[in-house]
Amino acid sequence: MLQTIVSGLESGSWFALLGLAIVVVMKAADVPNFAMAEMGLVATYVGISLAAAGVPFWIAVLATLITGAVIGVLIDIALMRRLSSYGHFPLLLMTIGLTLALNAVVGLIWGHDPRSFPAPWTGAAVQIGGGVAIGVSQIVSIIVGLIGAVAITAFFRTQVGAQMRAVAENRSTARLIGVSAGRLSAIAWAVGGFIAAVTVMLQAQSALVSTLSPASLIIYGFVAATMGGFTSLLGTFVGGLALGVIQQFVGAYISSAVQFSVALLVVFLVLILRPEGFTKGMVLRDV
Amino acid sequence: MSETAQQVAAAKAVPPGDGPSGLAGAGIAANTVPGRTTGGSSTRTGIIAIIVLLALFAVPFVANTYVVFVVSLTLVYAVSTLGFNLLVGWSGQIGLAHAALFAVGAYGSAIGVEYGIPFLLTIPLAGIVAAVLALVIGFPAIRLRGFFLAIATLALGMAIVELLTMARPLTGGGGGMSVNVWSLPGITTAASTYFVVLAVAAIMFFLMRRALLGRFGRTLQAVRDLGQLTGSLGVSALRYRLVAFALSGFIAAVAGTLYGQLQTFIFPAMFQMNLLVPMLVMVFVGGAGSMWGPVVGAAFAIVLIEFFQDLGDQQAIAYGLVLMLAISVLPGGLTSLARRVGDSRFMARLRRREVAE
Repeated sequence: MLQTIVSGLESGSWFALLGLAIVVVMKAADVPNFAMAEMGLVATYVGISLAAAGVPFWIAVLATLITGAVIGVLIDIALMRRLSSYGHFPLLLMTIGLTLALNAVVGLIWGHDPRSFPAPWTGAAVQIGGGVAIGVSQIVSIIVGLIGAVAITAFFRTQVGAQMRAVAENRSTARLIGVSAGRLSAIAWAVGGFIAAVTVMLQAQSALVSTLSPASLIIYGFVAATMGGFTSLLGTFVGGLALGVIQQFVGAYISSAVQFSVALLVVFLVLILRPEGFTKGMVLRDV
Repeated sequence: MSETAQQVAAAKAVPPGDGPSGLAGAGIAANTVPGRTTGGSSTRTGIIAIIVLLALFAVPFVANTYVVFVVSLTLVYAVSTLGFNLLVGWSGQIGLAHAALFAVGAYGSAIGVEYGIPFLLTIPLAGIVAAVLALVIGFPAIRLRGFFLAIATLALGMAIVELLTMARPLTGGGGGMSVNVWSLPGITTAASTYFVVLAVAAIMFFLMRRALLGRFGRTLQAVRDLGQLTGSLGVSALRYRLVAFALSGFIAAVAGTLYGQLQTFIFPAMFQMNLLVPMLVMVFVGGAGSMWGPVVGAAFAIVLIEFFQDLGDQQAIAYGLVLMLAISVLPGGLTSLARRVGDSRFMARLRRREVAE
């Protein structure tokens, strides 16, 4: 029971973090990024290769994070920005094309075998009363997820974050008062890529990742983002955690075959009952 | 001279994507030029249509089975894209349940035939079932804007495919089911399926052309560009959005029934993202909101699929790169290239000369 909750919170942290990455890009660049999980996968595979080549663990982690941010900025500058005047459809399709291409590139370079990113604590466990053991990597996922959520919330309180909210609210008015929308979208993509790298890295230090794993991760990330109405950070984070726990309970007590359907059901219910996210109205002011 | 200058100035003054609403981008807003297709040339269009139909009718008599299959598949995708384009291009709603409704058509027809309903009758029946389902999906979804609609319909579409997997007694579950292929007596099965596909495609295109170039299409565009403002004209925006959903679902399922006949074996995994992505590409390449774009888009996608078939592992990367390149170079789709050339100063000059002579 406790084990199930912890596992749920662990995977929930991944979903929540990826959902937050999606929301950050959505706020500044106004596009649902289907390639988010793939961006994290590329960065993580770079880190895994570095670690396998003998680079110290923490330096490999740093390299992974920087790679994620750089990929984000490159995508924004090279591909997305020029399309923003053409409406939603080309943007959406571009992220889908990017998903296919990045996934195939990873398969081409690193192959399709599942891999892990072993951390110094991988495999260690903490004994809790009653013979229940909790993996250290699970605790790491949950704590990093919490830190990430707090950090992103804090980020939106800074001046850059406030400008980003202004752009999200009204692009042309924000530009009139001297906010550079281009610079902000680059920052948002960097932050998004950074968080995506964190997410997939957390997944890889606890479980296995492969070219198949982003497909489900991105769906759950979108479910989390939907629960926050694609705007609320708190809603996205809590939604991701709740989704993880629900998934684990469904898997443990009903069947792992219906886990995916349950996630879809959650999206459906949220969209019908509270299309603006289930925390709407719970906060005084939101973007 | 001044007319040429005006034309060029007009082309420059309206950069694609400056439509009144955020959704109306290039490829969506700047695409339909009904005046050009209807302006005094309807007899010419009719003659061209008859010639094309006759040429297509001759295909099974001159080409081998493989070519017949590929042309059939292109027509099926063209019909499906016609429906998708109606939703995405003409009504401006990025609904992503199209592949699932296509699956409903394929499964609906196959199951109907198993229960003794004649195949030709299952085509409209499956269409009606999918239209009702599209209404059920659309009812909560049409109130959502832009990407929320996309995510909601994507989830609902996935749920439909999941349901197909779960309904094992009817659909054979994840393992799939074989389809009873209907055939005309006296000719090969491939040719027979081809003629059915051709007939249905011709009917659908004829009907859609009548609808979209008339009052219905104009109203849809108005609803797309103005949103709720059309309420002041006595047009219910929500009702038109819902009708677009139902119609596009109907067309998707009709195409799906034919797809089942072509593939002869169907399973749920066929109708997931791996089908939705090519469908989106077809709409995009054809130019969202254009009339004949679906044929171009379907042909493009089929050629691409056949061309990259032998690439094996590099197939996906090729798809991704071609897609990204196409969007970067032609954000308005492949048919916008023809339009761009047509609107260029050079072509305008050529046209003027023709008129002058």
